[in-house]
Amino acid sequence: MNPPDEAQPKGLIADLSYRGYEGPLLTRRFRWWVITRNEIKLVFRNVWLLGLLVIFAYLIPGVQLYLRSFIPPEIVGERSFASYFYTGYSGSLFWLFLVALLIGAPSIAGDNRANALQILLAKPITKLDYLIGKLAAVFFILFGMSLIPALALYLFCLGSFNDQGFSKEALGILPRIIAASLLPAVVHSSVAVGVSARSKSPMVATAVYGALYIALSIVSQIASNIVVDRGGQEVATTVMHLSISGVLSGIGQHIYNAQPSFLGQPLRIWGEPLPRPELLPMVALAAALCALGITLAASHIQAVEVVRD
Amino acid sequence: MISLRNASRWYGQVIGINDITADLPPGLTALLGPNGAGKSTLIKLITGILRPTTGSVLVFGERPFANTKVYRRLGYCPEIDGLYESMTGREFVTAMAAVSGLKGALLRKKVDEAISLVGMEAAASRVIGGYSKGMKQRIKLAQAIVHDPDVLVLDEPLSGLDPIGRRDMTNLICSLAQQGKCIVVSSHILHEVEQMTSNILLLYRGRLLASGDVYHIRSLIDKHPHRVQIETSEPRLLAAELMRFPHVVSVRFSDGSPNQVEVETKNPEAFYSQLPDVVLEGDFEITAFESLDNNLEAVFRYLTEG
Repeated sequence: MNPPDEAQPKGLIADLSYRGYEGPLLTRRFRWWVITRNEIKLVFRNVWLLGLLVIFAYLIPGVQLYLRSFIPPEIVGERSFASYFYTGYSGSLFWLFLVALLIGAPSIAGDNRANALQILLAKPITKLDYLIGKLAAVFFILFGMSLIPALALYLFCLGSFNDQGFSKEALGILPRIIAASLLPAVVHSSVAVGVSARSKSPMVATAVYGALYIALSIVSQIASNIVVDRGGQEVATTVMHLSISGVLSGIGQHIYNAQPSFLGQPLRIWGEPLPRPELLPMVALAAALCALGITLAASHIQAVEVVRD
Repeated sequence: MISLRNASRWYGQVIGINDITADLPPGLTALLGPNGAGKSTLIKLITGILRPTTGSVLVFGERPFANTKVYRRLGYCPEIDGLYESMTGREFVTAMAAVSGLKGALLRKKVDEAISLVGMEAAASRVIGGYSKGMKQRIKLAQAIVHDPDVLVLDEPLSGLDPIGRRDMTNLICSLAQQGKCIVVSSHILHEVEQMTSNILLLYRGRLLASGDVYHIRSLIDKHPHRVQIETSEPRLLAAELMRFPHVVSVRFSDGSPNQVEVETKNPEAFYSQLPDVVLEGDFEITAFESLDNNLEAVFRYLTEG
């Protein structure tokens, strides 16, 4: 039997006297912000480079606008300035998807894998604080990555194309840029975090979100072809957009009042210019996806122990 | 500080803990039990990660489940050591301190103090992924004590540590207990617990088997014949010498290991004090020595089988 060490307390109770609590008395008002800040810090350590790729999406309309100064309008066609922003926006969607895949899908799954929730949920924050913190982190990153290059293009136009009529559109374009930057940030953060909360492995969460994104696009394409075969061409475009990528693209067209185009020429489908999808089903689907993602996340945040090999 | 009243927790058909009633005072209390005894379940009930299925668990007189008032005064160091491997130790402790409600200069001061207390100043700027098991245990302890909690719950804090790491961690835990904190430590190794505290809750298959002074429980063991296994080149000669003592009740030789002799004694203290003399006088070469009953399983065997 080992005798008690001299350094240890004598008897069962070391000190029965009243001892005032000396730690912090109040928790932070915005406790979720601690989670958000921490997540953003971790993310930028790993995937900040990917954010730069979003900027390249806006280089294409930038170059188009620059060339527009030299090429007569009858060759390039009459285009609103907003349509150039839509070109940049639609080009950025793929990169934003990749960013969401790399930061959104692993966000809670990474914590599950690291068993961090056992520690975090024994701290003075609620599950709601934690969820809001995670959602906000993914949202802010995506919003920033979408907004900053669009604003850069806006400033470029403001400095270079006022004499070509940009000043007339400038005030109207700014809220559109903000709205179009909010959209992918909200949808991706909600759905990706929802998928993430269900998983105990960041890789699995990433794979599931990627598969969901691609599968919904394929299914909506097939469904639209079936609709066309059955004579429903007027709703085919809307059906084609019933996916995460489709919703982002479809609502983006409404925000910028633009048609999908390639090198200034409108995209065609079944011999006709591709019409814009109906706004209401797009908004309803986006809202449903967000609600589903947040509900999934809220119901699956718990301190489970993940045993690693 | 911590009060359990008929607390039970089931996982579907499986019992985690069953009808436990106990009060945990300030100072150091150990939850002792083999794997699957319910120690981690009990800890999760105390830390509010789980809610009891029946009965009640109160910490500072409040139910801890999802209760941020309780969490402000509670530090928890889980057994797992995944953590954020791309963060440095300092970043991790800082993040956890911020979640606990600290900010600004006070946060930095408390982080420095906690890191210093666990002896991680030199390694605090390295990423956790490169830490040894002992360093991870220390940094986990630092995040648990950074906000100066009144209740500190440590799940298997000595698990995986080398002997020096165990000694350092034991001293650290004892010094925290001396400050008047209520510390709950879980372990499945009896001698680890004995070095830290004499106040234990003995869990077995989800039930509270015994509580109180570990030395009292030890004395219960000592009422039963105590088995010691000795490996020597002359087992039969050594056995003959040992049989001269009145407290030695039997000796047994193993078929599989011809150099082993198992001795059963009614008075372990006398046996351990007399054994060196016998060995020296007879010039026996002892190659292995093991007390078969000096472990937790033996305690449970005595307590459950009588």
